[in-house]
Amino acid sequence: MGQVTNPPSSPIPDTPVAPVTPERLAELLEAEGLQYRLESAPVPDGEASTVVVRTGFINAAIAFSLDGDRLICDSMWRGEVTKADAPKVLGIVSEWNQSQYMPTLRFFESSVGEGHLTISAHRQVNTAEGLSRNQIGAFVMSSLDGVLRAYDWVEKQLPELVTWEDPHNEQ
Amino acid sequence: MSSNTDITPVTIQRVADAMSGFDVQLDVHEGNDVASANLNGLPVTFAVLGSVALVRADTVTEQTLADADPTLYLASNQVNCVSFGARASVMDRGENLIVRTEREFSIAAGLTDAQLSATLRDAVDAVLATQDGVKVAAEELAELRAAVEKQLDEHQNS
Repeated sequence: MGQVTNPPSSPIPDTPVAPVTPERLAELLEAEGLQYRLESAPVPDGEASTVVVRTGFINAAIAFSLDGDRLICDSMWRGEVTKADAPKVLGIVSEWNQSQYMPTLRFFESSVGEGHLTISAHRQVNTAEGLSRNQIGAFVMSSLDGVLRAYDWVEKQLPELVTWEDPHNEQ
Repeated sequence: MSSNTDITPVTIQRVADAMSGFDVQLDVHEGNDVASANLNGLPVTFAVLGSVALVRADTVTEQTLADADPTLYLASNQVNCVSFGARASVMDRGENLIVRTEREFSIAAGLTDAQLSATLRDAVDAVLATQDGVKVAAEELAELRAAVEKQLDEHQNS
């Protein structure tokens, strides 16, 4: 009997590409043991409601949403920045964006308190042709890792704004 | 030969093949996984770097870091907040400030031909649109500043 040679296979068998849904994102987060919740996002009257998959960490609120042909990973850092810090924050986001591929760091006026700024990290992937399970996995996991790296870096520049205690702090 | 539904590793040659489908011929720099083309008068770079690939366009400005003018930085942040689909940043390590717009995409799990084409089309459009976005935002910010300065001058002289 001749020996059967198998082509090298990926450790996790992939699925064919298929449309991306909030449920597929939730499945992935579930499999990774991450907490999440599905939430209907408010939309103008007459438009189909969209579902946002929310997850997060002690220092970050993270949302995955589908917008046309793109899957968006958006996030907000927990630190409360005042407008007086704007020049410093502009320097921080500019430095990150010119030296790191992703995510994009940005800041804008906070919707909660006047005179406050929100620092946000953002990333996206084209979903026009659908994604396989491993592709969703690669995007979600590398985005979460990137968001945490970005905020870790922000926290090193603005340590006085870290007012929470990380229960997982190994130091 | 892969069919449109096979998920295969992304190489710079596949990127060049996909772009030729849009009648854009890339100049492939053999050996370093980089290719380039001139699009809309801008140098556009395509690169394959391990788990990500990227498309970027650069505009060299007349400004230098020594000008200490935050306009381009503010304009880039403004554009990143509305998202034209690519990231704007100001490269200030060299002599002149460079407005860079860039879109990266994950290739860790491979892409089909159809995915690669759709992603590249989206990325190139976004990278070029974001260059225009930064330009417009910077002009608006400069006008705003000029108007405020004029007002302050008039106030001081009255």
